[in-house]
Amino acid sequence: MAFETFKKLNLLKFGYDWLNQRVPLEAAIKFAGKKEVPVHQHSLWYYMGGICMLFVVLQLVTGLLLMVHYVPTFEDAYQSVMNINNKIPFGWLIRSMHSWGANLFIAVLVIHMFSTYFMKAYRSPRELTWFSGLGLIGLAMVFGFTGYLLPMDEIAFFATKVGVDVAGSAPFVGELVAYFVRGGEEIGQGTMSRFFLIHVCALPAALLGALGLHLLLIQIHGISEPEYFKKLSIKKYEKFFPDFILNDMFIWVAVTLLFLGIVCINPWPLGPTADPAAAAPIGIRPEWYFLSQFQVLKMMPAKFLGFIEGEHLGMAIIGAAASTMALVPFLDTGKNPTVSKLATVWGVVFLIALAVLTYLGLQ
Amino acid sequence: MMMMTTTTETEQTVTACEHDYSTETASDTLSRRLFMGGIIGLFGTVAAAVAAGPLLSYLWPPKSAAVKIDKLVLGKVSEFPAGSSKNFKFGSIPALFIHSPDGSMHAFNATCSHLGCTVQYQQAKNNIYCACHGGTYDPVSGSVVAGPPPEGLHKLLASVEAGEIVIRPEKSGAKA
Repeated sequence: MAFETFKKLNLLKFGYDWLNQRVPLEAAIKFAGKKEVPVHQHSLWYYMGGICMLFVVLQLVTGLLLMVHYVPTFEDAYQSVMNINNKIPFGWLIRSMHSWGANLFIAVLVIHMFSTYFMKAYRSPRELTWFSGLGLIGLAMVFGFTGYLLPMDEIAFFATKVGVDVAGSAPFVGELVAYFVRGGEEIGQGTMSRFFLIHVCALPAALLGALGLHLLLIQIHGISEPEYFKKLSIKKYEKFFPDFILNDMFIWVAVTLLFLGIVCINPWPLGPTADPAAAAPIGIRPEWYFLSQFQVLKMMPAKFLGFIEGEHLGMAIIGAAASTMALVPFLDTGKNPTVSKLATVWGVVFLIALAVLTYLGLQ
Repeated sequence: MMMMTTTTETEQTVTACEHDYSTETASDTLSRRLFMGGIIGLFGTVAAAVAAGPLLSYLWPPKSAAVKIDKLVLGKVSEFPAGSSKNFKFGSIPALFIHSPDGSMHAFNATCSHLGCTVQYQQAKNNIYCACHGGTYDPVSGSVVAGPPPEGLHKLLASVEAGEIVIRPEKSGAKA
């Protein structure tokens, strides 16, 4: 009798009703059902956001797994990473996934940023979506910088030293900022504790907040359409659920397989242990996403016009170039076709400059 | 204003009341709200400022006394043939000793004056080189030869005492 009653109860419906009485599930499903994605010749770029999300998940999961065995002390960090690489089963895989993932995450973020830039998705009312996206790129770069020190190998030590010293050379507050970030006069346990805390607590919290805002704004404003598409008399759309999301999932699987292939064929290396007394190794350079800035600093003369410090000028150039990305929604509002073209040209110049400087930084 | 749809007589009476009473009430409410908002904002700012002090002082790195030394025995002269060099720590500063091919000995604070990397001696090119941004210094005087460093390296004193290389700070703290 009891079994019959149980059978008659539709558990799925019961669960749905139970949830629906507590959260607006029906409204959410209705909303999701209405969500549409424009279909046009540039639709492929819409998948970049989803790939970024995939890397966020991969980074969070592999990061949590690494923390099981990682020891965040100046003396033991290197050995613990060595153990993860060599002794812990599949440790090399988890660490390589995390290191490769960090780089690929930033690469896809940059592609996502430029694709939205050239589709003019920063225009009203999506300025905040654009800013939250820029914030996410900034956070990803700080993630990269703070995480770079944690293995405590030679290159990690000097890359951190250079990075913090660059901050230290900023006028007026530079030295105070560098002292605070470094946790003292030299790279040591203070630096390690700070970077670890920032990397595993502060940044994930900030990233999830910024990502939440970014996704919320996308839901509010819908997916951006290119200008030419808006003017079409017949427009084609596809349902987000299930059409777009199924394509998204297919791409996630493909990217994950490709990612695992890269990781397995070329596991992330671990250099010799850091020696604070040693000289910076020949050929030292930052990760590729800092190479353009690195190259600008390298190209600066000691003094410009006889009184401006070269590194100050370099930092001003980097800051000015980066701020154009933040200012573009206010400059190119879509009302002036000449400004719109200029913004596109500037995007191309920016992209080429980034590529050339990165290439020169590699030499 | 909500009495606009009532009869004229009533309207006049009520409008009069509204003018004397409701408008003032609305204005009073607004100013009270503003006042309360201001007070809350002020208290919030003061509370944040009061909390920021202890928080910042908690997070501020403790002062670690710089390790200052007056003398360091680097090793026996025989361990450093002409053309060799060694990076080492002189107290808490990174330092570089060079036994030049011409037989002279030099020591420097190895902190690059550009962005603080630790420099090294390149025997093949007989120069001091910073691998970070390509700064190059003279291995005898420590002055800038090429690249972005704004000034030369700080010199240390290197001498031979009883067959050992001894490093001392240069009293003047002279820069090249």
